[in-house]
Amino acid sequence: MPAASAILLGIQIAEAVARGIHSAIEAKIAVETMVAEGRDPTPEEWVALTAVTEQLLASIRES
Amino acid sequence: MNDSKPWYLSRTIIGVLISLLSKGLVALGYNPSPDIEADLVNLVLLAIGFAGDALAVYGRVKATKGIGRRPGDGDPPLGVGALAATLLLAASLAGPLAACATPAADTPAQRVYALQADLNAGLAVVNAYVHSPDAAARPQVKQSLKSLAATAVAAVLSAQAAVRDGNDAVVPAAVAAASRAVSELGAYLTAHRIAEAADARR
Repeated sequence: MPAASAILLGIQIAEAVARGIHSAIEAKIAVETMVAEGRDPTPEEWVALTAVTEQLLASIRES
Repeated sequence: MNDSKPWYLSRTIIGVLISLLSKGLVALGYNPSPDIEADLVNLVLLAIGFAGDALAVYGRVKATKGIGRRPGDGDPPLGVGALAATLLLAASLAGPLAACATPAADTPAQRVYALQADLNAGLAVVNAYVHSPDAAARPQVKQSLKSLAATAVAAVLSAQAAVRDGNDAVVPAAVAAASRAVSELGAYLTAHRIAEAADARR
């Protein structure tokens, strides 16, 4: 694979990782908020998180 | 304790350094809260993880010698892109997930939520890789990743259903199964990197 293609692949994966990690960090902050507030995730929070999960799995299956 | 890791990846050492920094700030009249210290530790570990990934990709691309088997050995040689992607995937999955894992999760529902967040980070990595040309050249790896991802998702969603239903009888087993499945996905990426490195040295 040419170096330019390797770099592009690395950047694309890094971008995907960054998006996934950003989502994970947001969810982590949400968990800390839940702990501080002494509550479990709301139905809306579960729906939002699961939407990301299902979207990613669907994309993986399409490959 | 049999496994070792670099000092700069140790949450304890990073935490001590952040604590020392905080004490210095107190001496200067600024009083950071413990919550900020915890966030700083996670952010520093995350930054170190990303820096390591970037260095791995840069080093591999700049290498003057390729990596791969000799012609006629059977499987196609490992391309620069495949190695870079695998290194990035494995390191990224281990590093940021470790930094993102929250010790603060108290209840089973909170733990499952945090676990699913970690899973989403891993799925993003898998999704990027299975759509890459390198994955097309390695159909068995691609199929294994798809299978492990599907299994992990099913297990985590089952755990979610259990905690939301409040079914105390099945929650512990469901959460344990979900945690195991997510760990297996991460372990496969890490092990795959090791296996490829071993193949490259033959």
